[in-house]
Amino acid sequence: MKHLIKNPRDFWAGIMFLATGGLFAGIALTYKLGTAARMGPGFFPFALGVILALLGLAIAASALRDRNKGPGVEKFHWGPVFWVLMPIVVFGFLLKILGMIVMGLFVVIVSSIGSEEFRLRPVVLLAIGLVIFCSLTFVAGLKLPIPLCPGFEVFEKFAMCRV
Amino acid sequence: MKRRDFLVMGGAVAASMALPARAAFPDKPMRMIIAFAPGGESDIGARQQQIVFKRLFGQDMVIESKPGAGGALAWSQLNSYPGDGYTVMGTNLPHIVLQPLEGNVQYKTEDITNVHMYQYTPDAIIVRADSPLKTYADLVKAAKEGQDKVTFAGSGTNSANHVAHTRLNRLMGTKTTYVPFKGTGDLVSSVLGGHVTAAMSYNTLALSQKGKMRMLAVASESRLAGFPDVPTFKELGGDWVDGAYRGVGVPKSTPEDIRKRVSDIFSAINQDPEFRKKMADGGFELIDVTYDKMAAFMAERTKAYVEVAKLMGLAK
Amino acid sequence: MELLANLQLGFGVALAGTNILYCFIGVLLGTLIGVLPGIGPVATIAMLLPATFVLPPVSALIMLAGIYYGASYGGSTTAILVNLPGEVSSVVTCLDGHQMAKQGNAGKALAIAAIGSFFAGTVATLLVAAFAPPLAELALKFGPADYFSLMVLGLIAAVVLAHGSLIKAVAMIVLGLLVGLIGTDVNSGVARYNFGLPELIDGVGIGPIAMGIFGFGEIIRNLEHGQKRDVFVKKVTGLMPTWQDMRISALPIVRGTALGSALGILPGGGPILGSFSAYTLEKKLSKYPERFGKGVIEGVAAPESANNAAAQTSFIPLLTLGIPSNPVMALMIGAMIIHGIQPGPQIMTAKPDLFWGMIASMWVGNLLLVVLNLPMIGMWVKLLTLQYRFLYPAILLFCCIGVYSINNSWMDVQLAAIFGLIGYLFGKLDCEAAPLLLGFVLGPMMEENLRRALLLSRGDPAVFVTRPISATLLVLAVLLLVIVAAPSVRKKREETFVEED
Repeated sequence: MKHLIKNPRDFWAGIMFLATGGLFAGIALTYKLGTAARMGPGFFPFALGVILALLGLAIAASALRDRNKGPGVEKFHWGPVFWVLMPIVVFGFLLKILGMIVMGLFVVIVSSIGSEEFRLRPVVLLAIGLVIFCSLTFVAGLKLPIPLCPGFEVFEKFAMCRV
Repeated sequence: MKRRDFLVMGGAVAASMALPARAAFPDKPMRMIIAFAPGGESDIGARQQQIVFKRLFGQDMVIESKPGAGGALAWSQLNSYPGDGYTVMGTNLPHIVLQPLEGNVQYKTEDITNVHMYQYTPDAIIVRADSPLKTYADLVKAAKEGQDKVTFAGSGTNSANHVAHTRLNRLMGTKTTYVPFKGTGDLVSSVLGGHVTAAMSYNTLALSQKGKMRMLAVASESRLAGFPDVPTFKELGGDWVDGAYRGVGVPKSTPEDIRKRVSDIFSAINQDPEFRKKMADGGFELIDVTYDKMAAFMAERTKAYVEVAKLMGLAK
Repeated sequence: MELLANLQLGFGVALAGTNILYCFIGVLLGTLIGVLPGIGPVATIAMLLPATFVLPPVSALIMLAGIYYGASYGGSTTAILVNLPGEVSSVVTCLDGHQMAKQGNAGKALAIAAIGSFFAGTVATLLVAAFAPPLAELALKFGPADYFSLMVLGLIAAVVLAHGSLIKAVAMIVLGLLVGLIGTDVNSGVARYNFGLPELIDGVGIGPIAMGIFGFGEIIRNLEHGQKRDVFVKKVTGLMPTWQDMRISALPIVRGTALGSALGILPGGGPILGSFSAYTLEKKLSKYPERFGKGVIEGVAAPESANNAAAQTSFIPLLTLGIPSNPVMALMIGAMIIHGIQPGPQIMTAKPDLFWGMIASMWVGNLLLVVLNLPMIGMWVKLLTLQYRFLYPAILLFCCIGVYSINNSWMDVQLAAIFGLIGYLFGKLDCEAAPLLLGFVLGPMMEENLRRALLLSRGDPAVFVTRPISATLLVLAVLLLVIVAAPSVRKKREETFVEED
């Protein structure tokens, strides 16, 4: 298999397009297709899905030819992926419950772990600084409806939390 | 506000919350959630109320936009907010009747506790200024001859405009074509450019495009102050008084006396002379369907919408 | 000369003490929020609306307009510095702008963006003043069929954007079109590809996609490659463009201004098409198209000029017809109504001081932007010399807050994370993201207009070739396709490709 693929980047990109196009076209079939003159909601996405799948096929096929030789796919570094994206996901889920102060500190500190030169002390200082800046700019200044404090009743007492 | 946000996650907790002393309601800022994007008519209406609310009751009214799914995103979350009267939500008719009928949304019409309906914009047929159609009779004649060649631009599918168009077809006995657009702002250029015959919209469009567009007929009870020459559908022989109604709803857990109080607040805002003038200038007709009359009003409107929805093949 | 008298009236209003102050506050605020990734002008204007109630209407609108074009200017700053397009129209600026920054030329990129924007703003303001009503009439001639053909032309132009494989660029456009279709279908009311999630009924926002694919994807790539690198950009050369740079950029700025002004008048998609097609045009005309995407100054000058020109001329449909061509314009209409001004065709005659005052203030605002931003370039460039391990967590936090605040939606934050992963994957497979974004923006408009045109013609596809505007655009599209596919160009493209390997 491996020696057949002359351009792995193109080959896998082609497979990705083929699969995505197929998926979109397949789901489009569950909507009303209609005719070209009176299109239903499924017509346009079905047509595009098929086109994408065909393009994918062509890209993957051309990657098997010698003259299109290309470099291999670089290694995936799951470390940075995890340390960058995980805090974002957690931020999205918990912002309404824990508020921006907690989640802001969380995002800055946790995402910093993704860097090889991670040192806790400066990162914590940075996080505190950024959270103060964001609270002043976005919540106090621009009055964006972003919860600041955790949503527990104890915090209701603090004036700062009642923005 | 943070506490309330938290309680969104658990409506049950909200329901059991003990309410503070009710004597001086409102004694803190009220949050008004608008189910449409800022700059829309619902948003503009609320921002006008915001000014008067502050003046009359000395508290802030914070407007929060939660647009999405034609309003359905906000309405399906209404009952998850705390029922202390400090979170209210703008509601719109016929949307809250039509959307559940269509079946794509996660709330039912009964889930929305409307406490007050305060304004409406009547349905209207509007053509561009240089359109050969001068009167409603011209339009009927053109529609009978041209049938589906006669086209009406409207905002959205299965929407208020769509319902109005179905009703118009029934009234005229024709099969004209409805052309949906994303919003009223989107369809203006198609009407002005003559790409469609007319617009099925509201009186507000004719007002903002005065000089470039003309109104042929309007679905109000009597002729509109700003348009004394435009006949109503009633005069033209149709039983058609309708349009987009705007009001305010509260979470189901809100106690009766607070519901009543919220209704009173919005009545009071409607009485403010300066507010009345501003709204009239904007083409908003003020009404007052108070909380005690709401059940009867909703029953009557729902019946009317379901009837038309059946014609559209929406409801079984 | 009526125009002169009108402009005199306008400048009289715009330069009045308080108005120039509000104009300044507007552009300053706009620049600041534009620089903060994700916090867009829509959220800001909506939040600041109540604060403008106390102002006279003219001052309020001047300030709001200032926020609008200030933000689109500030958006380019982040695009250049950290590869984060604040708005769709600055996606193109990322391509060469960020490359320039990486090579230590951030100052030059920022300066040329400011200079190009100012020139474009001046020309576009004059255009608005002199020809607003006839231009608006012209835009009305565009029917659904014509819009569809314009989108086709735009998409074909987008292929040229890519510097790698042609067929992969086409596939990315199609993928973008498909992602754009997620959400409610305007014509039938059916929710497509929303997987039962109510948050997806309105589709995926451009914010989460742009921030995810460009911003997050870039951060992950920097972390994996630059593990040992402590400073983001090591050497910073000249802050200001040289005469040579200015000479190279002059014509691209003029051409970008022309394209942007023309496309900005069309409601919907104007500014986006403007900046994309200006870039494409420069790449086509260039003697060294293979260097585009690797940090050429024309690649910043042209789209930035087009972007700003379009931002100005998009006021034409608003001021003359009362048509909002984008969400910010819709808010401006709201602001007018709240101030008791009925927007629409009658504004020009009923409120000449407001109409001409706003037009004059646009030029004043553009001048203020240059004065404000040229001295700040040094400061922005300093930002790049910060240690990256401190810079990226800050960017991430701003992005999270920004994405959330667009719709107050937790779902948008998750989507941005998903698109971050997708963007990383694209990078590994040499798939360029810019064409995808253009497809994403144009997809829904394309389908909507295609179906609307067929609905109006009762199913007759001939409408696309019998309408003169549509036919002309389609002929242009075919011509462009031939040029792109022509052997000489293909050869050049392949050379590029080999070079990269």
